[in-house]
Amino acid sequence: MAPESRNRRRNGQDRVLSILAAFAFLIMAMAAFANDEPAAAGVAMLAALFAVILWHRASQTPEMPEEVQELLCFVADELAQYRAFTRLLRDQGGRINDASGEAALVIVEGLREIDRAVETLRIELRKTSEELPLDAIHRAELAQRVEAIGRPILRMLGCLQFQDVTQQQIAFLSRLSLMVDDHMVRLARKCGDRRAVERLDKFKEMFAAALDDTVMTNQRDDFYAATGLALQEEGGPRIEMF
Amino acid sequence: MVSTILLVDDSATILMSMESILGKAGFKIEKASSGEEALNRLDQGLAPNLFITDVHMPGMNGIDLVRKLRARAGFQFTPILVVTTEGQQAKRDEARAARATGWLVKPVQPDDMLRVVRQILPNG
Repeated sequence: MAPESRNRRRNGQDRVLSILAAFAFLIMAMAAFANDEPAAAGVAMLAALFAVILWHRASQTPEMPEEVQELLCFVADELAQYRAFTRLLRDQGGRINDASGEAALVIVEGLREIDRAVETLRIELRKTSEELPLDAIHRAELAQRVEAIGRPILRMLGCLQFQDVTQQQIAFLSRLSLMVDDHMVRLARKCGDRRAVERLDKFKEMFAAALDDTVMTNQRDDFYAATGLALQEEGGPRIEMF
Repeated sequence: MVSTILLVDDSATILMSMESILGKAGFKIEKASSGEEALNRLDQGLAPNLFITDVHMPGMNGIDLVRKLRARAGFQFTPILVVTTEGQQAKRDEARAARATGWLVKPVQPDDMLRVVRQILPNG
């Protein structure tokens, strides 16, 4: 039989079975309200018919080959692990933002302090230049040196905008990563339950290697969080003498 | 008379560095860490001669702040510079439509910043 006519026949059977099931269900519902024996017998008979119809319908549902099922779980499992990686990347972005933000703040405060000190020095030098036991050449030299100290400050203050720029760039990477992550979640849902298949050895090795490459405690903490472990490593003292 | 500049940015680093750069040039600097705070300062009577605002801030963004300022009596024509990491043309157009005065992409060299500000506030 040609596939087209086979499909048409199956569709026709499905439609008949659907109508029968709906009809049986309707009679059952009506009989449930009739409180006498013949009606109860009718309900039992119709229930049996209903069960047969449902069984028949279930047997018509095509079974997915086992290999395909396993493959889908395999893909879903891989996706889950890619997600762990992307989360790790986002966490690192957050760390970079925090660390650079704190450092930039300290630098800007320091620069402002130096700038104020230079300004004070400049004023004092002008004020007391006549009292200082220096000749004109020395005084000019001293003033030039003070100017030289103060000159790079403005440019350095301008450069501190790097922190804002970096923050935006990392935020953008994070947004991209979330988009990929969202896509992976949807894909994984279509594939089935990832827990059905054991994790891939290769992926495990790669992930373990990534942990070996990390240097800082907070990176390792991020790694554990990405793998789903609520584990915090001991950081140890900031300064330790041996 | 010394001109007052209100700096609006959620980054403390940017606020402090800009304060130093512009303060050294002789301008009086006021700071706000959000659009909402900037508007509160105006409610309290602050009347800056120039606004310099970031775009990406938590809560009200810089372009919304421009719109709100333009809707306020007394600030329809006050210059507003938008200083941002945002390079997108659409955002720039949005700022122009909101009637911002200028758009500077970070990082801005201090000399460039001073040149633009002095162009807007020639009397310091």
